[in-house]
Amino acid sequence: MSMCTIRRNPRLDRPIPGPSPMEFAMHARSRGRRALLTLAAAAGLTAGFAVAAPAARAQGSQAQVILVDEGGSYEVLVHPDFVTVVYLPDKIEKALASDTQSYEVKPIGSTSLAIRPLKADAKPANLALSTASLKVSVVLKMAPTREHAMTQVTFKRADVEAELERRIAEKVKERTAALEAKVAAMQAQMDAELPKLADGLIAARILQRRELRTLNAIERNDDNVVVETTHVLYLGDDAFIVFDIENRNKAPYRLAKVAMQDGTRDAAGVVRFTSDAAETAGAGVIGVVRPGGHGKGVVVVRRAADLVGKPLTLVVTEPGDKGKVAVDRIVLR
Amino acid sequence: MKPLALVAATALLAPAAIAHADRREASVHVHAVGGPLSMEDDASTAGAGTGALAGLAVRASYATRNAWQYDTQLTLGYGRASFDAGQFLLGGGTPMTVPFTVSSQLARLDAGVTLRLGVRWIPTVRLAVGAQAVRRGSPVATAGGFEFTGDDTAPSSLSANLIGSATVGLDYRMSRRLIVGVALGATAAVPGVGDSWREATITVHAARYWYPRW
Repeated sequence: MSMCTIRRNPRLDRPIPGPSPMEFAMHARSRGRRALLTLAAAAGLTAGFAVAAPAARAQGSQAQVILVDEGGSYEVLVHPDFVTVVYLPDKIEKALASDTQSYEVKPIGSTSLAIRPLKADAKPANLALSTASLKVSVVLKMAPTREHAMTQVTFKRADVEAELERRIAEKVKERTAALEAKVAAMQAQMDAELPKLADGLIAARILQRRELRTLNAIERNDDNVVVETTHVLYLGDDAFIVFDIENRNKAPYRLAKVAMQDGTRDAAGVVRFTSDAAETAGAGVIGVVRPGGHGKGVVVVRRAADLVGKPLTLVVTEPGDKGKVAVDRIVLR
Repeated sequence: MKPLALVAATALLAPAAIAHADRREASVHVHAVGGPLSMEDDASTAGAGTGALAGLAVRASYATRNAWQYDTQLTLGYGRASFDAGQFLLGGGTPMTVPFTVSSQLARLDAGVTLRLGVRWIPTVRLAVGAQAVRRGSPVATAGGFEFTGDDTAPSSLSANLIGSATVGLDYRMSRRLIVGVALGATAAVPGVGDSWREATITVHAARYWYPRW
C-alpha cells in the first residue's frame, strides 16, 4: 500500500496530490545520511523530493494525508469492498452523516472513524466532523473501481505540519552543517596526513632500494617524433622510468597513452608528463609536445623486480593509436 | 661569392637552434658516384689531363648531436683522363710527343663531418679528409693511327695521395629508416703529396638509418 498527501489548494479549495513536508523530511533524512558525506548534500535532498512524488501517485493512492488549515470540504472515494478509516488529529467532538442508510459510520477510538458504503450504488453524501482543532466535511463518493478507493485518510493541521516541517528542516540543516563541518575537518586532516603518509612510504622505499641508472633506448616514428628513455630510478620495488619526447614534426604531438610492454602485458602504472607547450592537454590526452619542442615524462612500473632482465618496450601513442613510437630493448637491472 | 662557398658559409653560420639532424642515429649509405676528373701524369708535357670518373662508395655514420654527423667513407672508382701531349719512346725509337690517355683505379678512405640542416628535407654540407691509392694503367699513346701502350710507353704504377673533399647535398627522409639524396662534391689531392688529382662528382645515394645500442 502506498501513501500520498493531499494539501489543500487555498484558491480552488481542492486537494492537490503531492509529497508532504514530512515526506520531504523523511526522504531528506534517509538520503541525507549518504548525501551529507559529500558537499553536494543539499542538491541531493532537492533531487530526492522531485523524484518521490510522481512515484507515489503512479502506484495509486489508497492512503491519503490531508492537511487542513482550520476546515474545509474534502472528497474521499469509498467502495463497498473496503472499510475507509478516517484519522483526525484530536478527539472527535461531533460527527454527522447525511446518509446513514447508504453509509455505515463507526467510531474507532476517540480520534478515528470507519466508513463503508452499504450499497454499491450509494449516492454521494457527506460526513461533517468536528474536533477541537478543525472542522471538516468529508464528501463520500463511490470509487469507479476498487483500486480507486481510499482505505485510510488522515487529517492533519497544516500549521502543525508546517511547524513540524520547519523543525525538521532546521534539524536537517543543522545536521547537514555538522556533517559538512565534519567532512571538511576530515578533509583537512587527510590533507595534512597524506603528505606524511607519502613521505613515509618514500622513506621506507629509499631504505629498501634507491638507485638511479642511465637508459639509452631511443626510437622514432615516420613523423619524426623521437622518444628516448633516459633514466630509471629504482625506489623500493618500483621503477620510475624517465623518458623524453622530441617532436620534430610540424604538428603538435598529443600524448594519449603510455604503455610498458613486457611481451605479454602492459606493466605501466602511473604516468606523468610535462612540456613547454602552450596548448593544454584535452580530454584523453596526457600532454602535448609542440612542433620542435621537447616533453619529459615518467612512467611507473610496479614490482619491477619481476621484470628484471626482460626486454621491455615503451610504447607511446596519440589519440586513436596514431603517431605510435615503440622504444624497445629497455632492460631493467 | 660562389654558390658552394655561399652554402658552406650559410651552414657554418646557421644558429644551433635551427639545426636538425638525428642525434644518436647511425647509418649506412651506398653511393653511386660520377663526374669529371682532372689529373696529372709524369709523361704529360701539356699539363693535366681531363676525363671522367665513376664509382661506388659506402659510408658509415653516427650523429652525436642534432647538428653533426660523423662518418667514414670508402670509395672505389675508375677514371680515365686524356692528355694533349706526352713524350714517349714509341717502339724504342726517338722520343715522340703524342696525345695519350691514362686509365686509373682508385681506392679512397676518408673521414668527415656532415652538417645536417633539416628533418624531412635535409640540406647537408660535408667536409672530409683522407687518403687514396691510385693505380695508373700504362699510358695509351696514339701516333699515326696506332695505339702504343705497355713497354712502348710506360708501365703501370701505384701512387698515393692525401685528399680533401667538400660536398653539399640534399637528403630526403622517406621513413624513419630510409633516406635518399643527391650531392655535389669536389675532391682534390693535397699539393706536394703525390700526383695532382682533382675531381668533381655528383652523387646519388640511399641510406639506412637506425639507433644502435652499445
